Amino acid sequence: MTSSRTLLGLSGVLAAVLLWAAGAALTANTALLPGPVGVAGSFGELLAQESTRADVVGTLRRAALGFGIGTAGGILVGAAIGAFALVRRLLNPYLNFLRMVAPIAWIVPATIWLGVGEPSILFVVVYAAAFPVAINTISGIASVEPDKLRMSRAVGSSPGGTFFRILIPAAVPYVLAGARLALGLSFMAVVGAEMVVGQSGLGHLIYSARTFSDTSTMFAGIVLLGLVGYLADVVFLTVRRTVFARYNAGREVG
Amino acid sequence: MAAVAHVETGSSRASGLARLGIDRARLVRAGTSAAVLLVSLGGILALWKWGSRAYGVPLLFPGPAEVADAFMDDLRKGDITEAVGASLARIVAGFTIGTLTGIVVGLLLGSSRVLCAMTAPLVTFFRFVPPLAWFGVVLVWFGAGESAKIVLIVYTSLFVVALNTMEGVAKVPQDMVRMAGVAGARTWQRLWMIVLPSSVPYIIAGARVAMGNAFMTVVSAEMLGASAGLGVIINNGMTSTAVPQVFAAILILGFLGLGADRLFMLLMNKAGTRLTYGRGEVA
Repeated sequence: MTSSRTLLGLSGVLAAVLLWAAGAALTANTALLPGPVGVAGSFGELLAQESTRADVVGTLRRAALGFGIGTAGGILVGAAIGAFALVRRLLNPYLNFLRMVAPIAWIVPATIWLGVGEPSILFVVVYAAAFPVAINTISGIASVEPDKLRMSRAVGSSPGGTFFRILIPAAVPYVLAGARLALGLSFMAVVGAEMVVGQSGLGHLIYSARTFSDTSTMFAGIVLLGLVGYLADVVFLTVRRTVFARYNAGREVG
Repeated sequence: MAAVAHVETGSSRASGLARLGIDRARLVRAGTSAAVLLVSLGGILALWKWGSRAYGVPLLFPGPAEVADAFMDDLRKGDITEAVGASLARIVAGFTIGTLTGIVVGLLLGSSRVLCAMTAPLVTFFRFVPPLAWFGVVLVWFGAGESAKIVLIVYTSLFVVALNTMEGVAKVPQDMVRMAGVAGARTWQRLWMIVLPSSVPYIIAGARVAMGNAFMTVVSAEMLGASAGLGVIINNGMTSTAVPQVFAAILILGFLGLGADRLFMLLMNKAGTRLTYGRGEVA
């Protein structure tokens, strides 16, 4: 079954590439639709350039930093809202309101408050990552059956013990599902911010290729971005499987 | 509990309310949460005002009063209505096309194991390409006009909806499909009458995420170049320091998004109770 799935997957990719090549041959205009071979060439050129490595590292650094800070903040806010009714009453409406504001819209206030360039980009990424984690942490804490909490209290567990032995293990799978969403949103936010204000990074690379109407490099940048995002997800899933194995993460949700 | 006891003592008034179809306990609860909201809103506005005064430059960090002024000003000039109209038109067009295509793609891939396996690596790859990465390519293909932005929104909605639809199709009770087959339903009838309705909660959950993505994408796309829209207001704020307008645009974005999201919650609850087979989850 697994090998036939791989085979089918490979044939699907092959079919897509062939279709792409046929389309490119039909349009016969590399500025409009460069073929797979041309894009592969541009991809090789990109990888050979010193500046590309700096762009990849820069984008990864911003995404990772923003993701880390945003996830930590999301867990804190989500846990506070999930565990305390008063905090929920006070903050929940604002959480729902702010969550719907596009992260990139904050670039102007962020620039005013934190300065031009790196810090404001980071702010946008943190903003994008925090909300899915917060929302999922709230659902995770809400998913704990009241009977479990009552039982824990009945057998004499302290509030701290209940928190660490019942609430945390129950919430971890949800938090990790939210964190996975946040990882994708972090990349989305980084690319957007780099295109709008950035001087470097993969978003800037793709955007500047546009000004030279270098379509082939644009495609190569897209491929590079897809690969980087995919690898980040693979790393995330591996960490989830190994480090968080004891919480059954990833079995029930997302 | 206290509210229930109250209803029993003042039964004549309660029955009056009940005749109007209003649940007293619910009324009390709504009243309390409105009061809490008002108080916390006052607190936040005060904090905002204090922050802007502490910053000292109202042009760069406007307080609530300045933002309200800017909002009323733009509203009178018609800038806001124009921007909201332009952004919403793009969102609605892109979201509708993207969601409908996503449902069709999801149903197709969900009901054919071969197709699903063939496209799995492609779907995985494109999921990690953010919509804005296509910005340059889309400009080359569709020009700088409306369609380029709409295509980006279609892209950002399609995948979430398709993946959620597939998830929903996978969860359709197989016995129901088999029974329909025994009763003589054709393939398309099974798809239309059984598989689609029982995937609806999942589809709506996916569409809700897609709507959020659409709001995000439209703002960035407009910031990179458009004639009108909320993203344009924000971008102008960056170049011409019209910061109060930017804050007003952010508030409008929040309200529009919240309204759209509430609409989906309503739909989700309706679908959850009517189409019974489990509530949708966000994949």
